[in-house]
Amino acid sequence: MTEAGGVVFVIDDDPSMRESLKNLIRSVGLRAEAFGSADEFLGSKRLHGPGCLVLDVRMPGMSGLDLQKRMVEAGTDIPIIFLTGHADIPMSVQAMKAGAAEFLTKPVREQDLLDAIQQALERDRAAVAKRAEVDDLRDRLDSLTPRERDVMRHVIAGLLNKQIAGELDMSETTVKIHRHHVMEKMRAGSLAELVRMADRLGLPTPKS
Amino acid sequence: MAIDLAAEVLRLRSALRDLVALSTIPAAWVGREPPAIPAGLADVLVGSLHLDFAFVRLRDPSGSASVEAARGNAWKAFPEWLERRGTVGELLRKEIIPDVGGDAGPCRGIVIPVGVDAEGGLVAAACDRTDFPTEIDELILSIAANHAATAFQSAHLIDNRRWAEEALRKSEQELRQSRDELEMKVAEQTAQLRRTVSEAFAVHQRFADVVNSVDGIVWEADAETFEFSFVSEQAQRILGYLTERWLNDPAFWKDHLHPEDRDRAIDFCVNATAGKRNHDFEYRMIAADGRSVWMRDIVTVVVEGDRATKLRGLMLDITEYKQAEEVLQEKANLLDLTHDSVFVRNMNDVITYWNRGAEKLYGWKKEEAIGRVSHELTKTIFLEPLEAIMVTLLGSGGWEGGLIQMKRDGTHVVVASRWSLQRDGQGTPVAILETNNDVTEWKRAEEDLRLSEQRFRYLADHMEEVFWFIEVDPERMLYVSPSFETVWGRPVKDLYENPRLWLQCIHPEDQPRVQGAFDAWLTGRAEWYDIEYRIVTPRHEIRWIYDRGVREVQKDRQVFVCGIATDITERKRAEALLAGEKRTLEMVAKGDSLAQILDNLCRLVEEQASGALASILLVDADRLWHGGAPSLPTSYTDSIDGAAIGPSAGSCGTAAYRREQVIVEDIATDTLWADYRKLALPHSLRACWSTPVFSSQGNVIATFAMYYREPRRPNAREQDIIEQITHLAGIAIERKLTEEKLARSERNLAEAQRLTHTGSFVWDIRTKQALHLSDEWYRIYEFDPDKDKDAWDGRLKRIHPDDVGKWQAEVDRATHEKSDYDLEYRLLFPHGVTKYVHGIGHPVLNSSGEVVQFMGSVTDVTERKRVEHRLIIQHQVTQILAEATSLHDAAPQILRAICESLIWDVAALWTVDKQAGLLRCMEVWHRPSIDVPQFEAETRAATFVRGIALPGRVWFSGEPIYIPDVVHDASFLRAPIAAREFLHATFGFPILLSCEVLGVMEFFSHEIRQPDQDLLDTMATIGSQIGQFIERKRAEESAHKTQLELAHVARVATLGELTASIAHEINQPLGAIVNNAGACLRWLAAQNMEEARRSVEHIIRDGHRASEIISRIRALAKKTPLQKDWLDLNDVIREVLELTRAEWDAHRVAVQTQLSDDVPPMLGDRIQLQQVLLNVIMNAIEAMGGAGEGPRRLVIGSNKHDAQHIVVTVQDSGPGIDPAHLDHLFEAFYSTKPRGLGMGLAVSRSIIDSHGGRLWATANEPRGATFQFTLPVGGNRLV
Repeated sequence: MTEAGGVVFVIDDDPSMRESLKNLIRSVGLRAEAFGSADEFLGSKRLHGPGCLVLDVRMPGMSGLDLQKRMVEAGTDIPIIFLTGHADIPMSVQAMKAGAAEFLTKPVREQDLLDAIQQALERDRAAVAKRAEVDDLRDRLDSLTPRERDVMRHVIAGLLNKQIAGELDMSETTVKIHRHHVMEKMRAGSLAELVRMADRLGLPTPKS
Repeated sequence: MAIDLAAEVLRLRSALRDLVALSTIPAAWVGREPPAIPAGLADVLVGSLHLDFAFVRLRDPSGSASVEAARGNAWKAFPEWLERRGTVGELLRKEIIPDVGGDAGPCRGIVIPVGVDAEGGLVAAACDRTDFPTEIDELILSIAANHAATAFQSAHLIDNRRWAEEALRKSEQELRQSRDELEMKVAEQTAQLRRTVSEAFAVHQRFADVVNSVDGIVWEADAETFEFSFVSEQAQRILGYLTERWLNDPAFWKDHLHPEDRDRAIDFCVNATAGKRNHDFEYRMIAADGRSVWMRDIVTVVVEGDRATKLRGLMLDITEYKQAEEVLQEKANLLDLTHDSVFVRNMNDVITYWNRGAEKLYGWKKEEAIGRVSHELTKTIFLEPLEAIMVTLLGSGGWEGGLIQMKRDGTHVVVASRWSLQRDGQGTPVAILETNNDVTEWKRAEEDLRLSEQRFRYLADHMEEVFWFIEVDPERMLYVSPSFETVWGRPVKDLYENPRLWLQCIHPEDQPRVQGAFDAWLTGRAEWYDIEYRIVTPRHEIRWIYDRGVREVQKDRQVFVCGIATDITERKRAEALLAGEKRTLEMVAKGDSLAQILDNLCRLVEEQASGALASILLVDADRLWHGGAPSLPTSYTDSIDGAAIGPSAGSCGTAAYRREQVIVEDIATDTLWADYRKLALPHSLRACWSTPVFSSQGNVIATFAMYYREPRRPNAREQDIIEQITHLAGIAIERKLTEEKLARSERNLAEAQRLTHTGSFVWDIRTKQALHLSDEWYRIYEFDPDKDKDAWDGRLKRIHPDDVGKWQAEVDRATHEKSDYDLEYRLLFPHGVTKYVHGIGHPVLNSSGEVVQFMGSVTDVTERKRVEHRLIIQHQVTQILAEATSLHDAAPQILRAICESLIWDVAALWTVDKQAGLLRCMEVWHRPSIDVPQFEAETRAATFVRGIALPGRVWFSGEPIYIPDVVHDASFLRAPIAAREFLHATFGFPILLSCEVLGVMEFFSHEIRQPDQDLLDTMATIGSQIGQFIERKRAEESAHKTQLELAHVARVATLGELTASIAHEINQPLGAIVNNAGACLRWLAAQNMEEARRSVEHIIRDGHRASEIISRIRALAKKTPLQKDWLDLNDVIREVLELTRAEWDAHRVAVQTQLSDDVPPMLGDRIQLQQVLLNVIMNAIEAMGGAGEGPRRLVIGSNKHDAQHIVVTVQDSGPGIDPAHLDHLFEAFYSTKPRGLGMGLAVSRSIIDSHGGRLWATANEPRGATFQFTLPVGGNRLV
């Protein structure tokens, strides 16, 4: 599911709480989905658009913190906003360290919550956008041939064409050609840009 | 053209030559095989006719295969040509072929069919001549062909014929062979047949011989017509008719029957045949010479299917036999004259003659008897074996003996039977003549006589009486029974020799008297003979005889007398003894002194036994004292008076010691008399026999001794006397002793009565007077035996008015039913004292069975009754108090119980109102049968201060107060009312607790009653019981209150620990409300009314929820009194879990529930039970709260514990409970928690206890603790 505005996922075992949060979120024009437990949430379809999680720390079964850990391990980057009825400092520290977006206590001032949600969504939107960019770059990278890729690697390492030719055992001219291709396919305007792209893609730069 | 004649002639010659050659062919063909013919022809054609090629095919028109032959090779291609031609169609006409295509040069050919339609075949030829074939050639060929064909056919035919001939010859040969074989077989068969026939013939002949040799006529006839189909030859001999006549005459048999027998025989035969029965009958036939021949006809009926078709039989000529029979019969007819039973039977025992005598004897008529088997008819019982009889009979021709036979009516007869054997001319036995006389009667008479004799003998031999039969003139003994010897002591044979012996033995004093009487009777001067006398036996015994007789007078003055003499000695003696005893007993009854009685006895003995000196000594305290000894010298009796009993103390002392008779034959020598000899001997006492006298209990009470002046042993008679006398003595002495005992008894009885307060009485129903009233009786009824003469009547007045009816009814019943009466009733005395008595009466019946008296006792059971009452009332009160929940509850019951038991009519209970300083009335009770409305009202309304009125005074003094009659008591404020309502006696007593008066009980009676110490004692006990009850109730009350307080405190404390949960619980709905409110505002801003409205609804809902939670918590905190309700324990548990959810969640405890569906509803206080669960669960959570090793698990379970209880289990996986602490866990103020009160478990336990359950803790495996409690289901009592 793709949702430009973003979806807020509410997980709380107390039904009234759940309902009220959903109501609140919808009242500011956001989409909200409510779940009674972490398992329920995990079992549902994954999102593709921006979103954030509003989570009660204390829940029967998998607790909020456990869910956070799980998602981190799974590599999902969705921002989490914790709610709790118990103000527990160690807990909040732990949550924040683990990357929570916000940690709020119940009863929560709705403005605080909404702000946190907006922030989180923005963050996620950005993240989503970023991810999209990276995906694009990746596509471009994939379109390179192996030799081109090799050349690119050495280019971003800063090697001259001559050196590259030596390294890869090809003629300089060939190198130039490849290089040209790389630049084209990668749609990099300059070497620097290319290097940036490589960075973004997380390509390792071989040292000569 | 010039015909070349020469050439023509040559041709013709050659042609002729050819023809000739041809004509030889047929001859050559004769006898040749068919295949040779075409070959021959072909040869000829080629050879003789000089053709270059010839082909001949010949076929047999009959269709057989054709034969071919070819010669020359001019037409090589002929076969092909033929084939070609052949396929198109058979060659029907000749054909000329111009060119046959020969190798050497062109040849001309010709083919000619043979026979009509070419059926014979064909001939083909080829020649190199140019003019071939000429006419002549054609002709010749044709002829040759035809010849060939013909010859072929002939040859074929001949061949066929030859073959056929051959075949025929062969078959002829075979046929001949078969015929030969057949002839041989036939010859064999014929021979065999001839043999068989001759054998059959031989058999037939033998059979015919047999048949014809039988001395009788063997015959076969048709079953219906009786026409003979076969008759043996003997027929001719026997009856004189030719056998042909038998066979030819269909009615031969019928026609030749004797007229007299015809109908009978025919009927018989027809019947038997119809019945398909083989039969055997006799009839006469007329022989050819006019004789009558008796025939016995044994007939077999042949049945085919179910019809009798033939008869076969044997006729025997029995004429002679019949004649013999007739003769016999004639002779037998004579026998009808005799009265004896005579009958004749043949050797088969079939009766052939039956005389009138037999008819009379057996009851069977002649017609019925004749033809029957005799011993079947008479059911003869042989007294000897039949074989023996027959032997005798056959041997000597006759037999005599006895038989038992049965008459027609079933009675048996004893017959004297004589048999004679009848023989025929040849000496063959033919018949037996049996003569029988009925000797039954005679036999019976004989038997009777024998029996009679036997019986008499038996009687005479066994009776003690002497039977005697005397013939008068001459006087001789006819019979005297053996008992004579026993009685007279002389042998019977002596009497037979001397008929007067018996008289001579009579005692001299009686002899003259007897002789006179006997002689007078014998001579007829005296009518009767009936006399008693004494005889003297050879042993000098005297016996009494009672003799009587009857006289038989006959015409010829042969008189005999007979009679019976009985030994009546015993009787006489017994009479004497009886008289003596009677006398003695009279003395006993009269009350004569023991000394007199014993003396009398002794004299009796001395009368009975001459020469005896009797003595009776009394036994007392192991000594012998003088009883009676009239004939013994006083000096002797004095000297032995008081002698001790011992093992050798003379006869008496020893007898008493040994408890058995002691016979001392001679005092002088017997060792027993060693010490006493010198006392006895001077008085010439030699023999002493002593016998102990026993009481009915078997104690030795006396000894009876017989002394003799000469050494003697006792004979039987003397022993007898001893026995009798000792018996009598026993009676007399015992009686005397009993009398004394009785007197003593009576004294004791009176004493006993006095001690037991039991008085006895005997009263006469009719006169209604007392026959006997014991001293004690007087005392009970408080009458003076001397002064109160009408005490008996007076007693009725003494009976308590309430009980008189009951008493009278019971006595009446007992009188009517003639049974005992037994009842308790009261006596009321003028001075007001009541006594309880227990009266028992037993009816005494007269001889008609009517009740004439009652005898019985009256026991004063007042004391016992009192005790009983007291115990009863105490028990009742105890029970009431045990079951009552408050004094108010118990009061009416207590009052009633006391009144009913102790018979009071009205009661009141007052309690002290400490504050007001007053006695208030808590309860008034009155007996239902009386009504005291005003008194009751007054009493209920009244209050008293200390010291005023009865209750007040009791209160003041702390002591019971008794007023016999309030009416006359000035201090009794309610006296007037009491008087109006007939209340007299009253008493009050305090309800005390140690020394404090808590209340007062008052009792009233409509009787005037005296103070009763017993009553006061009883009431004192009750009063104190009630006091304790009050105290106990108070204590319980306060304990209960305390417990509630405690529970509350604990609850609140526990609640305090639940802050986190409570906060969380409330925060949830609050948070939701805030969110919804925020949302609502935004919805409103967005103008979305629907959403806004929904948000508000949610707010309201959540708000309610929050307040619910608060009220639940509040409820827990409240101090409520006990509230019993029906609960579902599982719900209670779940509520508590909900409440504590935040706690166990916070502590990361996993909670598992195992709540059984079987748990029934139970009665309990919800709050309190929740408190217990809270407490236990919180404890568990806390226990698991420390260092987090291991899983934190809490398992809560509910289940049915048994039929009456539920069990709840709370298990944790904490560190468990230290066994040392286990005991102290439930103690108050015991806590392992730093902040804890230590009250939780103690209070929990007391809560569970008050529900009637149990709370306990155990260790859990592998770790942790388990707390369990049981609760009873259904209604339980909560304190």
